[in-house]
Amino acid sequence: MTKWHAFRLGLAVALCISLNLYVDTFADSGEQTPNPLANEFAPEDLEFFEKKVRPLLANRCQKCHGEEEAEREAGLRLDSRKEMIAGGQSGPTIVPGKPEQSLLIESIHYGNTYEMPPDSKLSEHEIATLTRWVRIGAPWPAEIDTNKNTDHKAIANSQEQGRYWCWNPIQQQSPPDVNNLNWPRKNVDRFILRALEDRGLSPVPPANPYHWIRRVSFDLTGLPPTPEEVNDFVNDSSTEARERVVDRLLASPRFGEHWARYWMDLVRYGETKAFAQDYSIPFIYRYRDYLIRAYNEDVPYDKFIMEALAGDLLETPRMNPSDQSNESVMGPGFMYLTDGHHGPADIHADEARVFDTIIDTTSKAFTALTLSCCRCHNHKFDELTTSDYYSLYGVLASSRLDYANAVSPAILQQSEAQLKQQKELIKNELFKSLRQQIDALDLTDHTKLSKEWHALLYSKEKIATSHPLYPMVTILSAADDSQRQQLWNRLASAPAERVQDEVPESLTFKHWFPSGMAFANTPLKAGTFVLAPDGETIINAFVGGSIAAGEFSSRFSGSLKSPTFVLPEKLSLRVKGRQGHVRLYVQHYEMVGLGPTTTELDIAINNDQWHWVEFDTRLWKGKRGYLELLHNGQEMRFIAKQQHMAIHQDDSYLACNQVLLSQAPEVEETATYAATWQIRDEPPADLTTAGAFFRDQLLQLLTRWESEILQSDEQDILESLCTAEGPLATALQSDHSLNALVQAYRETARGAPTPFYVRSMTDGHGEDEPIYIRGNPDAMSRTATPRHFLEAIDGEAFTGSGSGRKEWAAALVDRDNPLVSRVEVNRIWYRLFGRGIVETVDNFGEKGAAPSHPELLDYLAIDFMKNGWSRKSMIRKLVLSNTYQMSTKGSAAAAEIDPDNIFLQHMNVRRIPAEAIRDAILATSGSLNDQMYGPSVPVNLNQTQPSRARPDKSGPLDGDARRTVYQEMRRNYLPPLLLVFDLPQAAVAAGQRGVTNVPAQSLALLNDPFVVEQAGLWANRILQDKQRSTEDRIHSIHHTAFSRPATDREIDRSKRMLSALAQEHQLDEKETAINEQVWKDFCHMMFNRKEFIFLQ
Amino acid sequence: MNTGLTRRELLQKTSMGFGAIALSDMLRTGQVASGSTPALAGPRPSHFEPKAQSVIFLYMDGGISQVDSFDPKPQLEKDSGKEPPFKTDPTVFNNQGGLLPSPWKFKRHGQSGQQISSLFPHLGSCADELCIIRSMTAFLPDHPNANYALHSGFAVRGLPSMGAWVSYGLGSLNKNLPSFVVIHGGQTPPGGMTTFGNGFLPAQHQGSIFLNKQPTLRNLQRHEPSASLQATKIDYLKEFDQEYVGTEGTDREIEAAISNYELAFRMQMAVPEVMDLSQESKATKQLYGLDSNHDSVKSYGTQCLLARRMVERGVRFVELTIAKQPGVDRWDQHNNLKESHPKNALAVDQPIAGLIKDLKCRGLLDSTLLVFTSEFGRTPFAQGKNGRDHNPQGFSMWLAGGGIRGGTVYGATDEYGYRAIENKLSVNDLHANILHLLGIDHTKLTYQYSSRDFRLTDVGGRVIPEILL
Repeated sequence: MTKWHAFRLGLAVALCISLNLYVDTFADSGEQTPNPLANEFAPEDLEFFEKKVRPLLANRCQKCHGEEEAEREAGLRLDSRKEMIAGGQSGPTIVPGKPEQSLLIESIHYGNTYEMPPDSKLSEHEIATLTRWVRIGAPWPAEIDTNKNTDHKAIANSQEQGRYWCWNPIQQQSPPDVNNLNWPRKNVDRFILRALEDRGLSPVPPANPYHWIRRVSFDLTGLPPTPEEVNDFVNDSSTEARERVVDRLLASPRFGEHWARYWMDLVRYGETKAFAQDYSIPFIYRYRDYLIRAYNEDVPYDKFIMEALAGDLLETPRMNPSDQSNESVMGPGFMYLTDGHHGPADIHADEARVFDTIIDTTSKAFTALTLSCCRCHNHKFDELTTSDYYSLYGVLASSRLDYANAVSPAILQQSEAQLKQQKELIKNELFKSLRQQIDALDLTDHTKLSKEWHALLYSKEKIATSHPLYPMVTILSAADDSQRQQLWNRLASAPAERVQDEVPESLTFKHWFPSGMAFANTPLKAGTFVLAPDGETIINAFVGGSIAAGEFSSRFSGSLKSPTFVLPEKLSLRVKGRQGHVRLYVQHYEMVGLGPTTTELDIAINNDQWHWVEFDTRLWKGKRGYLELLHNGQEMRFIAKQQHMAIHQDDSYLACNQVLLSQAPEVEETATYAATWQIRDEPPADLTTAGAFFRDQLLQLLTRWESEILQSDEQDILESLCTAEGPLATALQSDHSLNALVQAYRETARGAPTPFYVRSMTDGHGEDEPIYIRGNPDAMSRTATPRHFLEAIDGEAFTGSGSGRKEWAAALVDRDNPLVSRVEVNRIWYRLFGRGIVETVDNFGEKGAAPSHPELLDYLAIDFMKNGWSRKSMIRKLVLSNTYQMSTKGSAAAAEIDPDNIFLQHMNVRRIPAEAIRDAILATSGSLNDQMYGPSVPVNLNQTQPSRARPDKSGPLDGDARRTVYQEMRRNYLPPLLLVFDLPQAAVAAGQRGVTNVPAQSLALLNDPFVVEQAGLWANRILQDKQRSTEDRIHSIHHTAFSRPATDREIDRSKRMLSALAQEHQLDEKETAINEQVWKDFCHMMFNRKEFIFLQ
Repeated sequence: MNTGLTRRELLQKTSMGFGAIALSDMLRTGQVASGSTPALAGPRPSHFEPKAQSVIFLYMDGGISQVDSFDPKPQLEKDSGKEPPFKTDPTVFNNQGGLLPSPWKFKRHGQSGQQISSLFPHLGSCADELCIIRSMTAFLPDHPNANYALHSGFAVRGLPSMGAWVSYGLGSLNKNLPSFVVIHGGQTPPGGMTTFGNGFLPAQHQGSIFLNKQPTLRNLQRHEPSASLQATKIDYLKEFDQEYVGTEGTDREIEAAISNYELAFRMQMAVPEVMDLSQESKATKQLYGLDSNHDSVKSYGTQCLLARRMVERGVRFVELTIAKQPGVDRWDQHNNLKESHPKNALAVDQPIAGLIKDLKCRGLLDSTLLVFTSEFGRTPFAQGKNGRDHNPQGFSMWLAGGGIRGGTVYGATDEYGYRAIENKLSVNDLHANILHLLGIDHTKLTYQYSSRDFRLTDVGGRVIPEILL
């Protein structure tokens, strides 16, 4: 067991006393490394070392633990005695004289921490040799101090000079001089032209206007231009014609639908968790909608990044202009887009897997770096270290997934304030009414007491002596005075003290983290009650003295999360509530409530009585975890079996007043509320006296309630009277003025908006993570890595108290960061020109490609930042350049000099992406439904394979004719038509799509029922106007499908084709012109023409 | 134009050793010049003389129990019901019972005397062909991860399946059929279809999913009522497209897309031909169990027979998934072990034995490698009363055919059959041997992705001379 482990277990013991103990850091326990023994050895021992040990170490150990720093594993050297004593990331390797304490010896025995050497175990003889060597004090000849720096963190600093280009600061660039001064239109053009002129090339003439408008329409919106748009442009002879088109496209809502999808590729957007069951991620489509809005509003890219990593932490979040809802909080939604696995046997390894994919995605998406390589070792090529990796790991481990209610906080606060006022009025009226009711109670009506009141006390057909009303009811309904006195005396002398349910100071919730408006982390005032949202009862429950949600309305939703703690064997909470949930997240395991062992990590709370719920955590003892109280738990499911259907329930509330890091206490069945009722001293002489006594007690309780000094057991008595079947519950209902106030309150409550749940994050306390040696969660380094940004850029430790997400994001968008702006402009360039300036858009590291136009890249990066990180203005600039206008017909010289067209002598022919193919089919057939946002259209299951993850119901074949971005993306059932055209698998960040050419694409366009169906719809539309000529129809088809009129040859060929089809269908000439089947076949082939999917 | 694989990328992505070979081959067929990845690339030379041309991967989805099939453990009888006397790792269900002896008897078969349980009487008759490995291990004890690892060498989703690597490495021997075919029995493995994906390899290497019912392959069925109507349509389409290429210069991508239509058209013919069993003799069909009273045998028998037909026609890698049987959840017997393991065994036993015999008598066994394995085994102790949980620590699998030393046993588990203790094998080792038999050095079959050279065998893989001829 490593020291770190031991420390954590120690902590677990401490936490059994107090959950509040806030875990600052899993710091080193401070133990000293052993002093090396005197370095003088007998000659025969040194000979033994030279003959037996040194060759063994050299052959079997030093390849990975030798002199070469780049090759070295775990920072450990086994080519020096001193280094072996000092040790690597796991501590000292040998303790001279003590083989049993030496990690080296444990490892070669294939012990708990390591199995070394990993390729195969040493022979018994070799093990004996090394054991003997350690036992005799690890003799080694005197060493020369090489004074080599073994600190892996020093790598970055040691490479200041001659750094790979991507780490160099972005340089201010002036557009270069060019010979052909007439050609450039934008500065961009001068960079391109200069590179061409340097190679003796000149740019080709512009594309014809039809090609240009088709190109720019697909590039900006993923849709073809309509025939009207084409005509408008072609007939617009003004100098601003192109500007007008570009501005129209940038302002179109279709822009965001197209460009958001690129971002979705990067964050591996899918709506399910893959693996065996492919569970759904409820409400994740709201993240997609957020992206579409963010692109359409042109949210500055630096802000976009701040929102992605820390949208929940921004002081002034960005509000949706239309309904004032919180947009920023939705930014971290991409953190959920991981594969999730139900019931992993090793939950920490699962966390490491999930975080690895988040780190990989984050580092690729924002910085085009492969930080994921550093899970096991320092990067082999780039200036990235394990310390960088586990730093980001620590940031993630200090954060929590969270459902946020995005409804405008202003609206909610206003409505809460109103309800608060109304509740005060209700309270006044309630006290008044109760006083009257109590005064009016006939506490000597023996029959009523023994019949109606007595019935309350039964639980499981047995009198529950622990019922709060038991002392009063049992005494008042006694058969005679002598029995009454006996009962009194027994109650007065019985184990008098009920255990007080007050939250012990040590278990207060003050270090817990509330999210949303539902919970405060301080207990509510004594006597606080929850009003029923409808029905006969007025009060649903009392929650005073506890941490509770739902005091005013369930629509002010949220959750409360504990600090991270080390799990004991059992964990219990005392709770009450409706539609509430308590969840335990072990090592951030998200899929609570699913899977064989992890089902019990989610407990539903649906009981108005205080009760204990218990987590059996034996399996995860010693792991890290945190608790979460969820107000509207049914609706706030992170993961659901299939499509999530939960509907907001207005009666939900949740209260908790104790958390124990142990088993739930045995319920004390026999304890009574006698002491609370002040039953002591002499018994009352008769029923009348007794009645008066209890009336007085009730009135005193009421007074104490009014003064807010109620104890929790007193509150129990009032609750039994006033809620559910309580004797005064219906009486309250009959009080008209009270009732009117309650109805008004309910009205106001119903006026508040129901929660709009979005996926976000919250912070826990900042916790540093140790390095996992070789990526193994069971082998951690001695000390934790202080959380910091990439050392190669700025390795200063974060000082804030939170997770560090905000600091990480701020470091990303720092203008001195050499990567972020370059990476983003490069991606924009790639999407418009078909090839990045850095061709490997997701890898700016040494294994990636070097920039083809480095000055242009820096020029654009600076220009991007200067223009407020506006993506739209960057796109506008690029598509209005002369470079973008060029035709795709390259010259023969260019084919010779630059066959891959790296220097853009002409534009590249590009195939449109999968989504654009499907959308263009819908647009062309005239059936495109441009409804935006909302739940995705379920996947169509036609021709898909059965599996346990297959949804029960199939979506429509045409996906409701909505754009592809609104089609459901189930990871195990991605739409086949899109996959065949290179939709990414939603497994890893994909800033660049493959463009393959496979026969399955031809088969899809030839035979896929969707394509065939759309051809039929198109043909119907073409034939609607019976008077049109065939030629006119052919023109119209070409206009719609290819954004241009048909050529004479095409008219001729089309006519021939129609006749040939008519012959196939055995039709005469006259019928042909109006035959649906013929036109359907014709339209079908238009979808199959290469011009339909390739851009010129 | 950004293509799947340009010439420069190809040089960059493939390691020099193998890249050079594949490249020369592609240059020869003129495919690289187009800058496009060939749709169905022709055969490519291997690193050294291959023993096998094709692989049939018999995937026993769910986790077959080693102590009930190929790894007899008499000690379980002796200690029946006792608590396991060894340290156990966390299991998926955490419902550990006592040691559970096998309900089935083991018998020696053939000249080699291989021990096989009574679950597999037909396989027993092929015992001398089998090399049983009793020391197989998996990375993780859960289905999807172990399944991804078995298929791709990595316990995560989204990396290329071994069939895709084989297709990428060796190309196809039949230009009308894909080189990696999955004959889907009706039960998609946990982890979904990405199990058969191409990952970062070019798309033509992904597993093509064939069903043994219509339509065999997605969108393969011509939607036009007659072939002549479709031909007419495609003829005119070609006319339109050729004019387009003419006006637009010579974009190779567009040309490749055009030629794909011819290929697609041919596939529409070739696939029904390979799926048509009407020319197979009655004896052959009987051999595979197609006359069985059990639907499950008929169904898997059909898959096996189709696998042979594909191998005959040059498909490189054929994977068979198992069928769904009522009330049986794959080989995943957390309970109902005694009822469901026999049903699973029944379904595959005769068809696989038939396949081995048929391949042998046609002279194809020497060039066809058969791989029979699950993603992991099962615990020798009970889960509940009549079940076993997942066990990645040691389990059995077998290899047969092309280049494999039949009638042998390799490796061993401890006396209870829980942990591999002798000649432990990982999925990386398995893959190294499969590639080796196909003539590929597993360390040289690489593809550059995300700043590193990826291999099917990751950083592991060991070729094991003892199991090879």
